[in-house]
Amino acid sequence: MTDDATRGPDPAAMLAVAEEQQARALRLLEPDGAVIYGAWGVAWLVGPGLMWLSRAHDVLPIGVAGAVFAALLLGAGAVTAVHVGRRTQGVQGVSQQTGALHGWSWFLGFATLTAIMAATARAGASDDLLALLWTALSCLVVGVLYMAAGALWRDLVQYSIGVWILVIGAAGALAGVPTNQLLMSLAGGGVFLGAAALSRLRRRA
Amino acid sequence: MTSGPTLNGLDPVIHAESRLRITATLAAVDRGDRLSFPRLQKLLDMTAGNLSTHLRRLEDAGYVEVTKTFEGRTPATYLALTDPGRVAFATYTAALRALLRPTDGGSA
Repeated sequence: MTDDATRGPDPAAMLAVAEEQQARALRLLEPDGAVIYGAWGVAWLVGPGLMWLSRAHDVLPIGVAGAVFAALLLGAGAVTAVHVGRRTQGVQGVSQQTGALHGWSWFLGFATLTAIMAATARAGASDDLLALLWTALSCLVVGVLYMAAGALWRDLVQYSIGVWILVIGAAGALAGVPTNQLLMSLAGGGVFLGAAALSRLRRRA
Repeated sequence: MTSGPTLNGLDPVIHAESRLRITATLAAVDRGDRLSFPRLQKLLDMTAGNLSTHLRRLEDAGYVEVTKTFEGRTPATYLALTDPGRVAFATYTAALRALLRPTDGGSA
């Protein structure tokens, strides 16, 4: 693949070379929405779905449903971290710092949420109230962070997901337990899986 | 930027397939980010020697900034397009598009 500037290659061929190489680089450097949205979509669909089946239809013990949900969330977090780490391997600079700061806002958001829930439980909240708050506050944190990321990165898909998650949080809280969990499963899991499918279609296009 | 003969007004530093591919790849990275040498090599599928040779030419032209650093005890090299490099790439691709535009009386 050695060539000389004085040979003067064909402009059309050179333009194709530039465009193909840029597309290839972006495909290999940018995290794939299908992987990340897919992992969170499965966690949101199955986890709250099992919680709802347990509470509404007594199909399985609530403890089992909760454990599966927690495992799925941890799994989705691991998939996201590993995938993003691989795609951005060897990239250094501003985007790395931005990504780390963004990651910390998720971590601290959920750490604070966990502390609030522990305090609410200690203050004597019932299981139903706790189940209501977990879902509503999780949707609040997720929705707001998605909207902020969508606004800053000018990503309308992320922004719209954020709005939708806030709607699920508000509607679920008003609907009460266990309908809130069914809503989180179908509307929440559904929107992430839809975003995953959209990413796949866009990559092919 | 280097002077020198231009081909149809095309920048001779970029108007060579290997250097065009390197420049296009580095232009795909966000401004303010650098790519490690091995990652760049993988994205390009070029041999290390070939890549080094072309990078030196791009560095001499002021288009690529080479940052040498240490990761633990291993030396690491990071590459980024400079602002003049970004301008040169944009100018080059715009020139290609202008050349490829149908020349029927020079429409607007």
